[in-house]
Amino acid sequence: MSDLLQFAKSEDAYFVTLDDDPNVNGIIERFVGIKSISFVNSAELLKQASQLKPMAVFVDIHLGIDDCGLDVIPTLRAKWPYCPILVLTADPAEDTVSRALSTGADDFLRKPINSKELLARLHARLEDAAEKSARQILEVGDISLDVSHRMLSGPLGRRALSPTEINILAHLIQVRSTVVTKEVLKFRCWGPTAVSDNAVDRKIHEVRAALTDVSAVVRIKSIYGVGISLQLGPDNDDSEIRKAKPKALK
Amino acid sequence: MSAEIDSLDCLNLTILNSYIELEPGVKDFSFINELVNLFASVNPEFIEKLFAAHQESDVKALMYFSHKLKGSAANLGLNRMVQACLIVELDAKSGKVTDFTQIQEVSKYFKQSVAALQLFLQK
Repeated sequence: MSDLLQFAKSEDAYFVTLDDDPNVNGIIERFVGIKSISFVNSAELLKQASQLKPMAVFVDIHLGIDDCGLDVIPTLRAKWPYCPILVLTADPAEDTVSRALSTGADDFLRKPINSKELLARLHARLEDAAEKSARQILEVGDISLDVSHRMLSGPLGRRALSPTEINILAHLIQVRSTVVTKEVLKFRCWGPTAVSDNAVDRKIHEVRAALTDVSAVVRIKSIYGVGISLQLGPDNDDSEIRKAKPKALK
Repeated sequence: MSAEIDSLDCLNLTILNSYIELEPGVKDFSFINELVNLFASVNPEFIEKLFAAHQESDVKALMYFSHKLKGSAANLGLNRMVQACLIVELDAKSGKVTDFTQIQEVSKYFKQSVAALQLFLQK
């Protein structure tokens, strides 16, 4: 077992599996040597996700007649930005893997699960996640947001941001293409401090300007009367943002 | 003797051994026993559901249950059962209700596989 996995074990870490085959959870648990919490359907996992902080997540694609594991990945990614998400599939279709990655998964494993492949992929993803988490780097499209150093970087340059601007942009990246209302932004970025709509607008304006300075494609899109969301390019729809994530994650 | 060889022939011994020898040189049969017991006890219900889906010409259910059984069989390296399920799944994916004989094949290979696994564990 790798040092990283040894460390994870010693810290009483656990992983989460979402698979309707009861044997899969046991197989992964046995191969990795770390305990797990297993779910057999998406609804149950989403209900409990807020209380969990797993070291990695394994998600099966076909969970039920109308339950697809890929559908929960964007939500899990928003809740656990640095947690490796690995998709399990016995599906021979080529597009399954690309679909899995485009939803925000980090990697995939084909069934039957091979222990060496499982450990190698998990190890690589854990190291990657540990590095990103330590540096608190969020990526989308062509931009990279270094939260700890308050630095936004892109192909056109770099911009230092204030803590509030960092919070706004980090939140928009974490929720991906979801539209965020001003009230949610206030709560997430200012906490209990009272803040006017004008003050929020000014900060959004600053973040918008910073994105224009550093990025060729990432923009803030305003939905009148609703809120704002990140958009990749002026003519692209929200799916473009989802497509950009795996590229950023290698 | 030939029947035994034929039985074991439907197993992928590399996969089964990976559950027995988790560390080089250390053999432990408790985990494989758990997997086999779970496989044998959980899947009859899904075979029944596969038959029901066929009877109702429910392509969506045929696709799901054949895929589920295929994944379950693949985890234990049950090659013939995997192939039989794959035929049902691919037919269903293309909107076709597979022949009844193919559903019977899945059921037959499931029973054969369980027998082969038990034989393998005895050996």
